[in-house]
Amino acid sequence: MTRIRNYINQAFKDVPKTKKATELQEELISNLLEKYNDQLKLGKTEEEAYTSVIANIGDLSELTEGLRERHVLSPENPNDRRKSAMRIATAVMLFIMSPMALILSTEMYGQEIPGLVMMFALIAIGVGLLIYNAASKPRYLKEEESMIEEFKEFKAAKKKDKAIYDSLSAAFWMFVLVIYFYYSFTYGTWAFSWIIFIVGGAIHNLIEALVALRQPNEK
Amino acid sequence: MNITSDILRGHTETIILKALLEKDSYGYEINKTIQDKTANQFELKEATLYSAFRRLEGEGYISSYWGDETTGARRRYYMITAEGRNYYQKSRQDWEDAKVLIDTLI
Repeated sequence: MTRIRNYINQAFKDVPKTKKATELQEELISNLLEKYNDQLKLGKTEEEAYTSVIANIGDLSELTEGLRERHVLSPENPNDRRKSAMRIATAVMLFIMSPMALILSTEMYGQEIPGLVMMFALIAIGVGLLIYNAASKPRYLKEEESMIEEFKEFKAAKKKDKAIYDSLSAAFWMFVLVIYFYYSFTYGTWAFSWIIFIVGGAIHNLIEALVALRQPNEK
Repeated sequence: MNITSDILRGHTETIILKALLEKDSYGYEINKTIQDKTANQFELKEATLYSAFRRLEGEGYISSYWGDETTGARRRYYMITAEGRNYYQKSRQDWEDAKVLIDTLI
């Protein structure tokens, strides 16, 4: 019985250990063993049964060859990549332009509030763009179920989470910076308002810790 | 016998579909049915049988599921799909046509 198992395992030795391959292997072994046991019941010796079972298998290479074809990452659509680059560029441009709204409105009209509103609006659009961009990236497509593929998919999911995290983190610091400038300009508190960065850092870490705690445990 | 098995090999997929028309089955059982029907004159090689399963499954003519055997090894059962039934009817018709043609030629 182990000889039949060994024979099949030998035939599959160079085949990538995908789910498909291991299932086919299991299927073959179970069917061949059933046949082998039937032959024994018919009164054949173990040697005869083994020989006749193996003799009828035929050339397994066609079967194993078919399992060797690898499906890797589906090529990224160049159009998607261009769109993604456009979104990132627009977001960065909005970030850079946002303080200009404040400066312009203060310098030209002597009013901070409209400029401030404008600035926050620009930042919000930029952050929205970045988050949309990160979230809409095509996930790793599951072309073939296998342990390797599943691992890649798992990694891709992690990467996407990280991209969202990065965008949110950037937005957070942008807001801190805005508050810093606004307060310092309005009230002239340059001497001690830098403390906001330390407070900001603390809040950032706190949020990070809370999010990590809420996340379900990974296998 | 050699010519016969050549012809038969060309119809492996139809033979399998025919066996699955009656009931869901697994590799060894299908081969046993074929042997019984042909009075032990014909049996598919495992390599041929399981390659044909993969092709048929790829085409969507059959689908598979694992049985829940309580004793012994698990079995992978195959069942014919609606597309598989259509394809069987078509292959069957092709064969009828071929039979008539060959009869007139040889």
